[in-house]
Amino acid sequence: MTLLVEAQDLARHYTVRRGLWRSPGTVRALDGVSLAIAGGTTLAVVGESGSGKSTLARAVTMIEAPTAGTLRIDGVDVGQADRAALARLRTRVQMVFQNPYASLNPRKSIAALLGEPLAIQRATLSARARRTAAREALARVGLGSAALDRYPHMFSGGQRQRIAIARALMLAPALVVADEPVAALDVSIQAQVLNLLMDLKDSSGIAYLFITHNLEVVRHIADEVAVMYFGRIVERAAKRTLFEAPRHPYTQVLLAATPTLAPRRTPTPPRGEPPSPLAPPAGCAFHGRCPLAVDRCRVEVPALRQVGETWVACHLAG
Amino acid sequence: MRGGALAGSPSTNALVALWRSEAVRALRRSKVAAVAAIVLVLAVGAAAFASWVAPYDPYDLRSLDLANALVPPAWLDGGRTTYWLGTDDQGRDLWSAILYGARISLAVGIASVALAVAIGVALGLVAGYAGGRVDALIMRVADVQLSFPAILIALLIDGVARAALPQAAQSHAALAVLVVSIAAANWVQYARSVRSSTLVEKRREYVQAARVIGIRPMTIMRRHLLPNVLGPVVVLATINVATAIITEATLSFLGVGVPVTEPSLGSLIRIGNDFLFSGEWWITIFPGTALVVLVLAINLVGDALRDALDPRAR
Repeated sequence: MTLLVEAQDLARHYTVRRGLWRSPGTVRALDGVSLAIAGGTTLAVVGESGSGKSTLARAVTMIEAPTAGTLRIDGVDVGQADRAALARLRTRVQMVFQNPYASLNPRKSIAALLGEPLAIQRATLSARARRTAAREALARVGLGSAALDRYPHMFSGGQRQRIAIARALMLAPALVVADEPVAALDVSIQAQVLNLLMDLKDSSGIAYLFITHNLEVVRHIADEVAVMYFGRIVERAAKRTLFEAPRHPYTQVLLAATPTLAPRRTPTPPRGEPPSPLAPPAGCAFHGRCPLAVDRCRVEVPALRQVGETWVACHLAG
Repeated sequence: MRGGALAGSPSTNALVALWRSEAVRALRRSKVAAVAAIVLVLAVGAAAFASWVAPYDPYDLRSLDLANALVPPAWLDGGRTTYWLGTDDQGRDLWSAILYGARISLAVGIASVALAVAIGVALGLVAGYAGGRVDALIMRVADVQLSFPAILIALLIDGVARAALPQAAQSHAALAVLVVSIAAANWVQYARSVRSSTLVEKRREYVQAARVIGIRPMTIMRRHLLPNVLGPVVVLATINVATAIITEATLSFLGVGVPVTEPSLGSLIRIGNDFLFSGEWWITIFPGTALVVLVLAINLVGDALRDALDPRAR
């Protein structure tokens, strides 16, 4: 079967001007990322700020075109697709954003917000049909139809995120890209929203590209996990494998640093700071902070290779 | 809380009706806004129907008699009941002149602001949303525009119009020239305001959400960005109606504006200015008061409208 999403060496570089007298720099926000998502599964992408998670989300949702690499959705190469094919692909991938206070246009009623995807992509539908569809979507996220004629500011953060999820469902997508969908919510609400997302997965077979920095969230929802560092995937494995036997030193540090209710030992944060995106280090980007780094790490970029059931980008793994 | 109009038929017409009723509702809530709205409606009504409301036609030169010049208001010594606000130096009934003058002032003010808003908002939206070279080009044109005083631009446009148009068409075109001149001098403010709001708003996630849905850039600008950047513009525009009225008066003073035989509020004030020191204060004070009341009412209604159009403030 064809994979739902297939990314090959996806890259997104930004040119940054640094004033009149200095040459422009290049930020490699996304640097050769390959991943695959099968229908109905959840790939969680974890990493610290600036690791390229959100850039990956924008590439997969086709908001931003990658500067290199290929992206296939339903087996169709997005870079080569014509307008009609692109329009169809857009209906297959929808997105839930981090901040439900910013992702809903404050001047539109909920009915208008939910009806809009249909008005754009299914122009033949009548206004009445759109409204009915909006009511059904609200019901699926646990909100009543009284919400239809209200405005976003009348809802709490958790309710807004439910509305944002309902909007993502309007086009019956195969993949929902969720960029930190619970990070802006109260902890008590986070679980509700996560459970809602999981219920939707079970009932409609939606796949998720779930972007987060919260490993507890990953533990809760993921089938597969990809760890990103500095624009690259450093380790990719099934959830259980990754949590039980992390192979990459960065993953190991990350897991050890997760606070728990009963800490057996003091977490050891990674040494040092992440390198400057404008002056990336030679070799493995992690070598400056890696407790195991050897000379080879300082000159040669490790490729992602299979070790056991894990894909890992480290010279020393295995 | 909300009327049944939307629930019954969520069509565009129903929405428009709803917005209007929200605006009316906001006016009812605030006494100040309600009074301002009533004053504004009366003023606009009196100006629009000046030919029925006014006792004389101040533009009919044959009816003017210099023997009636500089008559004081009716309640002063030498005042006549036929001219209750007195007359100007040409013997024009001041009350009639104010009504007719307000009509010209309002028409020029509103038309020029509408034109400036249309140009400025469109260019500001495109500059802010497109960014890069398009933005740089539009904003540099705006900068150049700002370096010319409004008066200079108006004189320039007027000069070109005079050279290009036949003599007969010029008096007809005078108002249009005024409107275009004032709009050309003012669109930059709207472009800048809208551009900066657009820069803020386009980074917000609802714009990205619109892109994920597959909405085209023009539609995103019109349907998502425009309503969210229009708030400051409404306030700016109401204040600028007043500024435009004053600019129009200045231009009339320089001989570029309305013909002297058809004075606007601004030109009445200017005429009266010459007589302030000789004791004929009414020629400038009454049109001046009319202008202040008019401008204040416009501003207060503008404030109320802005609040009413923002669902967050409800």
